[in-house]
Amino acid sequence: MTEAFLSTLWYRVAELRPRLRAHVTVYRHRYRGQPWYVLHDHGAGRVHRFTPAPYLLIGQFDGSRSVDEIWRSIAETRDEDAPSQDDVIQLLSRLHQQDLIQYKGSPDVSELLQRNDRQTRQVVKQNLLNPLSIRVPLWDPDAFLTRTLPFVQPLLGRFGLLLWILVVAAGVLTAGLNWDRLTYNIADRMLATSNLFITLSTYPLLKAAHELMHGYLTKKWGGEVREMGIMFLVFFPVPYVDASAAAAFRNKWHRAAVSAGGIVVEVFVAAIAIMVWADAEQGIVSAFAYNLALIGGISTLLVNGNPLLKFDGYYVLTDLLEIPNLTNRANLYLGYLIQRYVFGARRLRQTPSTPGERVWFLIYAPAAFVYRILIMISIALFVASSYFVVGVLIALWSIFNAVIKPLFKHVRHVMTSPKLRKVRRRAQWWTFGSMAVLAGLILALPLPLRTDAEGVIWLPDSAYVRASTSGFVERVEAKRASSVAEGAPLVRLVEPTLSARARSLDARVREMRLRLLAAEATDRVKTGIARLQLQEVQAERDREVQRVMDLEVRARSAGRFEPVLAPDDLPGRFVEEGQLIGYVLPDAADRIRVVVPQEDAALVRDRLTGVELKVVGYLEQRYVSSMIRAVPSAVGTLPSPALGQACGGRILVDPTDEAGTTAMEPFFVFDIALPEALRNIPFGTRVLVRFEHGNEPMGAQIARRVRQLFLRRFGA
Amino acid sequence: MPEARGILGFGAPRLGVAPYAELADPVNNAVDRWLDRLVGVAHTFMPFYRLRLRRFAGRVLRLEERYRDLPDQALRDAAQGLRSRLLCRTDAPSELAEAFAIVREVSRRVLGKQHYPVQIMGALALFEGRMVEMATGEGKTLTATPAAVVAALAGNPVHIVTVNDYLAARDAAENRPIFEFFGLTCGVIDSEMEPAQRRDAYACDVTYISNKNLTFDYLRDRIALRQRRSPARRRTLEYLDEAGQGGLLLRGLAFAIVDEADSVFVDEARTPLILSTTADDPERAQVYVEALDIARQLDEVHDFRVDRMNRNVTLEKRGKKAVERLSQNLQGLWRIRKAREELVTQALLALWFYENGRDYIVVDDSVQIVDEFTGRVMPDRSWQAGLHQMIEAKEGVEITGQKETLARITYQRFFRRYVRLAGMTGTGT
Repeated sequence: MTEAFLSTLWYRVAELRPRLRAHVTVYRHRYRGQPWYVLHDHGAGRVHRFTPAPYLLIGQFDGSRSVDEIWRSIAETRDEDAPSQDDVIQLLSRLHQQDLIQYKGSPDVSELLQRNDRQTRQVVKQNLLNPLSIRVPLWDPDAFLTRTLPFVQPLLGRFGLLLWILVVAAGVLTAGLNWDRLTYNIADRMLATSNLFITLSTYPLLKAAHELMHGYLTKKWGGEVREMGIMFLVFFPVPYVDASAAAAFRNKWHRAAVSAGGIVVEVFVAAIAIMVWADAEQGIVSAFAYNLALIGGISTLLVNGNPLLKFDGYYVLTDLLEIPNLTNRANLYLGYLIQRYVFGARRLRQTPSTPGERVWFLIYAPAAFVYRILIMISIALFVASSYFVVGVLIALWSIFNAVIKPLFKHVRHVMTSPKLRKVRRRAQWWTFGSMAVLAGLILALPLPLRTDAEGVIWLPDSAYVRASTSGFVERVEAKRASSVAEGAPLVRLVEPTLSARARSLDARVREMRLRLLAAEATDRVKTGIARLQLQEVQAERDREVQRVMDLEVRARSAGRFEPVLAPDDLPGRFVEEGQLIGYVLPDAADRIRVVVPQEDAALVRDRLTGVELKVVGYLEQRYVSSMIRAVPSAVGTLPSPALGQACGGRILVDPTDEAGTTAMEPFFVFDIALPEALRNIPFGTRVLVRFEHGNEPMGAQIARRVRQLFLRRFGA
Repeated sequence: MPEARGILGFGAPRLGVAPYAELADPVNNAVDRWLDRLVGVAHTFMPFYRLRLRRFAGRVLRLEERYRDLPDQALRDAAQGLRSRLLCRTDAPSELAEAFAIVREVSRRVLGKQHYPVQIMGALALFEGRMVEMATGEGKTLTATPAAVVAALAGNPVHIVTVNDYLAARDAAENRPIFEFFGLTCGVIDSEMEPAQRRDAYACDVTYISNKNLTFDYLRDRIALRQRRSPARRRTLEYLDEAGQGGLLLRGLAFAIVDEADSVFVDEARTPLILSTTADDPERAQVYVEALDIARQLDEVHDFRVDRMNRNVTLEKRGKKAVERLSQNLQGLWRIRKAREELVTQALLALWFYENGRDYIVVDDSVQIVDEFTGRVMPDRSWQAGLHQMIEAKEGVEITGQKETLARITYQRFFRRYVRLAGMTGTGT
């Protein structure tokens, strides 16, 4: 059953004689070949757009004919497109709410005042809902702009455009040439407290230029600019100008130019600033120029100039595409598609749109949604890296606004909307079903949990030949690259004072023994002391004897002997105790030393179910392995510089360290077994290791990361 | 009488646009209302208010001796003397205590019933605009009288609202002697009265009335006012327009004591009361007859399809052409294609789905609906959207005009307009 054509409430409006208010002018625009009627309310400074269908009625509101007469004449001449009586009543109420029409006889003053109150409160409510951008209108800039327009006029024409192209091209070139210097460590430089002051003072100036350009361009083509004030963007005051009169311009290029004017100015200033910065010395000028360049460039690219967010770029896009009110209509269209085809509702009213517009709706709505969330989260993370609490609040607020509030609205629509009355069950199943599926995917679907790390193929401890005692190298016993057996002598050290010390300790032992004998005979008390002293000296003497034996450095395992230096250079050198003299390389390596950052170490240590690895250079082949050893405590020095970022690894190293092995954050070391097939790979080769931890739902994985982030901030 | 307060007790209350005293509709949202509820709940559970009431009752009881032995005329003089003070400062506890003590004494003398302390507590709570819960048998009717008397002495028109006419008459008869002792007039309104009588009853100091009558009288006043609601406009138009406007019924929504408040404010709160007229439109009446004519000439199989499952009728292409042909000499709505198709469809519905004896019966030259669930006849109901008129045309009886709403309001909204509202209930929880 289709919607009723006649309405039972018709008697309330039938005899009214409405007319358009005197301060409303009507323009006829063409968007994509379709006529649209634009009502410009000069009193309130608002612009309303209507398709031809409602304008059929509006155009006849001249105060002389009653609504009933108008409706009948239209309905008679138009067969299929005749507006139903309910349509007419809705249109009348909408026009009345917007203060566009008046009826014969003076209006109900109290109702007018009520509406005015509500509209003023609406402004305040808007401000409260968007605390990140609060508008405070202050004064009327029309006179100022008119007076100063002649000075700015030359820059607004062809000459200005040419100048702009040249300057911006030069700026882009400069930026490209100095790219590394420009982007090195942006986050820290921009958010450092000292820099914030400069940023905060350049930003309003840039915005002022931006807004004034909007105003001048509007004035140039005959519009009025009636509102200027201060806007608090993220609690920071910047000026703004209300250039909405441009929506009434007939020429779409003019409209687009007004919207784009701000971006144009910012890019221009940014280009000049880049050129200044590239040549300037370190100092205040350079800092200011850097800030201007970055703010102008970044804000234009990511925020202002990007059509996916509802700022200037969006209005430029909609004006050029001739699709008015793109976001709303795109969302409505998507909603219509879902309700019609997924829920199966029939009695839906589709807003009029051309096929071309519909394609744009389908592209734009999802893209804008995703991008908006991404940008807000990125801003939040960027701020959180330096100002944690504020960043978290911004992230929460943006998630609430962009995801939770619309979700509630949509769910309420599904539950209570009268249009879905006949298919409510199906709609509810689909809606809650898909929400449940999504929640299930996030919270219940087990996804593989793994930790990826890097390691190097490592020598066993026994492969290192270290001096057990200090001394001079006398002779290298084993030949280089010769294979030696376990226990074979490798290097002979000599320590002249060692034997002398040994003999002197022998003498002391004898002395202590005699003292002990003496003490036993004479003094009982001294016996105990004497005995202890004897033991002490004996231990010392044993150590020296051991040291003498250690002068002969032996191989701890079989392998190929490689001294640290050439065998001819070693003799005569002094080696400390524990110093590396050479290697006894086994035939093949048997372990890989893996370095795991501290946030993943707990998982690797406690929840290991499997280990896989790939060798850098032979990435097609995977191998299975197992864990041999885990070092309990965190370490600060990398086993090999190949694991540090300076040499291509993952761990951040201190740039001031020449050896490249001091890590910025502590990490944990694990040893895993080297598979048979890889025994011949050279030592020190980098290996990519994957630790498997079974399966865990995505929600739990994200929760862990978030907890770690909070722990790092609040605990550190 | 305590001055009616604004928000949280501060400031003057926002008066509505009307020639007499009434509050403006409150401007609030869900959060405001939730907070109000919280505050109310807290208030109910805190003992502070009850303690204050108890102290006041004790004070009134202590004043008993002062008035017990006074002669009647002295009592009356004392009451009149209080009146001037009550008119100025109506929240002074001393004046109130004296007034209540006088009323108590009068009640003892005239009715033989003396107020118990609980009833005094209830009376003060009513006077301050609260809802009072008293079990049946605790004497609710008596509790209302001190509040009503004192409010009337302070110059406010008092409405005591009951559930039906019988109770209004009974309570009025019971309490009339007390009011007359003080020289206050007491009026009763029942459903049969004419406007002139009602106006007289409202002109009394205390009026007993049922809630339905009260609300409909208020609606009648709103309709009579029309464009002249604000005081300034009314006076200007009165001055310019010699014809003058008919008198209003009510004097103002100053103070109401609602009996059985739970049933009025909760059970029936959201039912709208609608004042409507039947618009007599001969042109419209003719349309239905013509529609039935055309519908009878259509052929079932080719011109329209009947869907018994969903109870609707759709016109086929051939039917639409037939309708166009058959209506080419008719004027008015018949010139509009969608309108004429809708009318004919409705006529077909009336012909095919609504049967005399099953869905309706014809009694005394009028069509009366038979309720489909209970099988009883509902003489006051009518179908919407012109269907009733179509069936009347089908049966050949006189076509009643469609109902046009003149004014409507719910009890909730109406009683909220009282400057001071009090309620009594036996079952509050």
